[in-house]
Amino acid sequence: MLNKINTFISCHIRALLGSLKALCRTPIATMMTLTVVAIALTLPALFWVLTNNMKQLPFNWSQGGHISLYLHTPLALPEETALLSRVQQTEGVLNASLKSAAEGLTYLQQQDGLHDLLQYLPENPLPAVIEVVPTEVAMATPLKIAHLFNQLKIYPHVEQAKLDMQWVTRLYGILTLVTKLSQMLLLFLGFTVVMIIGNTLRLAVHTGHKEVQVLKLIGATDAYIARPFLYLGLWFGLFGAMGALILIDLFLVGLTPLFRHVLMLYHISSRGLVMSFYQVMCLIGWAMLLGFVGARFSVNRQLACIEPYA
Amino acid sequence: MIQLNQVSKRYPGGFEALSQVNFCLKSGEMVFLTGHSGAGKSTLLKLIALLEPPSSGQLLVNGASITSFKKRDIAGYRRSLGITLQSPYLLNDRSVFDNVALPLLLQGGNGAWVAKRVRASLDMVGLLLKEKMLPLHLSVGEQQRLGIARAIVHKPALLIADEPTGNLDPGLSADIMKLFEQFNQVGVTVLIATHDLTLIASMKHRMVMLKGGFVC
Repeated sequence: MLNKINTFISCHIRALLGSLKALCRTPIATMMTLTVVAIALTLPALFWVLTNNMKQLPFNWSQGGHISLYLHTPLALPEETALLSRVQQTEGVLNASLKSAAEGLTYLQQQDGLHDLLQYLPENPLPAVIEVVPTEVAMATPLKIAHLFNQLKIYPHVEQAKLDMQWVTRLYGILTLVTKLSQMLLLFLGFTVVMIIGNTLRLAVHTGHKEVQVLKLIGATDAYIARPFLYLGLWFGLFGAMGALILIDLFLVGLTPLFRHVLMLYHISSRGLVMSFYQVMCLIGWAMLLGFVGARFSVNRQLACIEPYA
Repeated sequence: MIQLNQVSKRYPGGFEALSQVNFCLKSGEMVFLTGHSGAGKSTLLKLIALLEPPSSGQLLVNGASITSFKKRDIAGYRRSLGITLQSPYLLNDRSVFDNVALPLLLQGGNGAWVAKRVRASLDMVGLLLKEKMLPLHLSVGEQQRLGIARAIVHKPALLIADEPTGNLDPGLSADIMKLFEQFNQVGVTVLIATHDLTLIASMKHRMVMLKGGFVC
């Protein structure tokens, strides 16, 4: 049993090293294939990294992301104060402040062209407003803030509630679209990688036609003959993924200043664009799987066509 | 050991290379297959080595039919044979040593054991001093001997040789035949296809004559 395991391991090690040597024997052809594989992997992976970075941004709405609760008119001051107190005690509310109808009118009169507003109005039409600033936890996602908003707007004496979350909703919409796009690209360009590696190995089998004949003649199974080619597919996947990681890194380094500048416009601080360890591992694993599938698809068909002594 | 019952081989296009052949090869025997070009010698060897399937008939090895073997079984069966051809099918990018080691590596052989067996085979065919050379740097006769070394390195029960002396001068041909005789003397069953009747006559072994696909 132990002997069989040793034989199995030594066969695989021999195939693994043999395939690596085969890659090194044709450095230019190998580099060309690896470059194409790397580029095909870079595009979807870059989308994935960008959207992931955007999704993890700590959105800070201190500059206008608050909720405004417009109260019924007229409303007595004790009722307004009671409601303010209730809002302040609501989970997810960082702080809340009451702006009375009179304060609102004063603010309006201070604006250019509106100072003689009261001359045309029989009474103050403005409602009292409670301005609510949510906590960071409550602002983490549009879903959470929507939950708080829905909770506040059904409080008694609240006539209307407004939330300035349109831009975040749009941003999340765009991010979802880009995420879907990157997933589709990952599949589409993954298929391309399978074809590229498959075709490269088809040529490799064709070039090694005589070796395959000799091996079949002396009794090698198709699995034995295919093994180095399958490892070759894995190597193409692995090195292609490493090439893609280098390209992605270059893109991220180039894009980080621009990314930071855009975020500054929204008063969001960020450490820059980074690719997580999980993403690195996923990309390498995905690329190796594609390489293996491409090799298996191509080599098995090719080997079946080669007969010894033909 | 090997028995062919009413075996025929018809190629696509209708050419019948073998017709209703009955043939028996006993264990430990050395037999020459002879006949003119196109008589069916190579076809018969290909059928025995399962390089091609027969169109009809029964092919038995040690009493068991091998014609219904699956792909995996065919590979296993071929590993039990030693096959050498007129063109020795060598890997020119690998050394003499590596070429001979191939059958042993297929069996999962490793390290010192492989080296010992390969050198013993190379010594038998007189190529021990050239183990590091590439086959392309060997003469035709040496390449032929290299093919034989590869065929015997894993100590097969049956050695099949198709025109092993086809490219060689008479002196070298006789040497190679002596080599086959030596293997036979240690118990290896040997089946050789050749049209060199002078060579066959010089050795006292059974001869099977093929003519137009029939055994005469």
